[in-house]
Amino acid sequence: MINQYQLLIKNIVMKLLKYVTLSILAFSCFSCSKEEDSTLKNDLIKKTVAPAIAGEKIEFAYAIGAQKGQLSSAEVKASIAGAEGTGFELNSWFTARNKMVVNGVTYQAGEDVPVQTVKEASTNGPVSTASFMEKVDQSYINPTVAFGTSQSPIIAATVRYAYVVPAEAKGKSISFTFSSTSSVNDKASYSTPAYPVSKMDMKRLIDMTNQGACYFSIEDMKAYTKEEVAAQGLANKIDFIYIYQDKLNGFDYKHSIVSPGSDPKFIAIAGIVPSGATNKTPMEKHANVRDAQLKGSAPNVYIDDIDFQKLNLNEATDFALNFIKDDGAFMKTANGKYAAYIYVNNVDNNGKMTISIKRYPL
Amino acid sequence: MKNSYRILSFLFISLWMQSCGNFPLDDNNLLITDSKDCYISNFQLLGTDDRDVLTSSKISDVENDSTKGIITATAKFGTNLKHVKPKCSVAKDCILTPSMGGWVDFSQSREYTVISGNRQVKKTYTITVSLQGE
Repeated sequence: MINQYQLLIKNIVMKLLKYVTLSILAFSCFSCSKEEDSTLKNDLIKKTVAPAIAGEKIEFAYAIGAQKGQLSSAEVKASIAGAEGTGFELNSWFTARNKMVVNGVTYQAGEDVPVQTVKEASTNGPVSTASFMEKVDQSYINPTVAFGTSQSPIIAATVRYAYVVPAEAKGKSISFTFSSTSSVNDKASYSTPAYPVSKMDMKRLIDMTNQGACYFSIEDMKAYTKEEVAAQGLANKIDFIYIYQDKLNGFDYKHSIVSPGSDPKFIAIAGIVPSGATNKTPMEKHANVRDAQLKGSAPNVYIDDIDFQKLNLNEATDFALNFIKDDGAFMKTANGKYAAYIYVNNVDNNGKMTISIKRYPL
Repeated sequence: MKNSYRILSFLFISLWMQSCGNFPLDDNNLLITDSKDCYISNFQLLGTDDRDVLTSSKISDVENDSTKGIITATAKFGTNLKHVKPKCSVAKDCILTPSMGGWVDFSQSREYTVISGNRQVKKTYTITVSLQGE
């Protein structure tokens, strides 16, 4: 008897499952066919390959083409609202085939040339919108036509969208849904995968001067003068001191950094350590870690969160000597709160060093 | 013409196979050759910045003992000798034990043994690095 009931229930469940599966399949096919039947097509490239750091931009190129009518609008919805500066650019860009003059500016072959395709762009919370212009220079649609000779309806365009990573996204993931509408009300959309946002902070081009603003706090990502250290009681926040001196006891020294607590034999200037400053900051000098974000140019090599997570400075010293341009040093604050990479953007022979920093909370 | 190429290729492959066949492989799949040369010809020490930290180095033999050699070197002021990467050049077909290339503490003398290509000759080098200003 029990077996008969079990068989009956099993049959009912199986039939229900069959109908539910068929329904899901039918609905999914319906939705797929609608997207595929649309006369509006789209595609996306994430231009930025660097780690997503708060305050930095992630740039996308969103391409849309209408087989019927023309482009009407585009929209992006971010999973976390971007910081100020997030939104569509008014210009699209094309590559000059030959030397050409556009709006009084001369472009050589191979250079990017701007052409306005977006009439209005705005960002409200996580949503950025762009409405397209009615017409664009025909050369943008058909490169065989000389620039400036005629106008054409915008049937296709690649628009640029920049997302400025907000501080609240640190350590989370962000994703975007791009969508567009044509003048005949057809739609297209593109959803990105989730991109991780780094926990790092970054600050570029900080000037340090010998016996001037030579006291650096990783926590503040800032260089201070001795007077500022004393006046603001920052002695325990100073992680390293920049010193420039050609030789120390006859040995090469030049642009060097020492901890306030380093062995005095490595501190070239007597009395430079501020009163009360004792931090011993483990640091390791590197010559070939040319982070493109810190450097501000290619090659596209980046320090990312994982480099700090795996950082082992157990055998490191608390000073590093003889820095030249493009050198750098991994370090950890004495209190274990932060790991950092200091990149040397530039040095001169008069006691000035320009640095950039990536800092990671441990 | 085609036949000439075939014959030449066949001869070349036969000779090449024959030449390989003369040399057995060791445990690390390296050729054991007939070379008796056994020495270190150059020594370098790299810092964390991958630059050579040595200002000078001297490679010498121990008198009346061909199985021993000495390398003395001076590293730049401020070098962290506890975390350096040694690198050297050896005679043709030699192997070195322990191998170099990883991080090593050179604050104390270390020994490396060179073994000749025929694996019959051995020479142990004692490497001592001092620091400028110390």
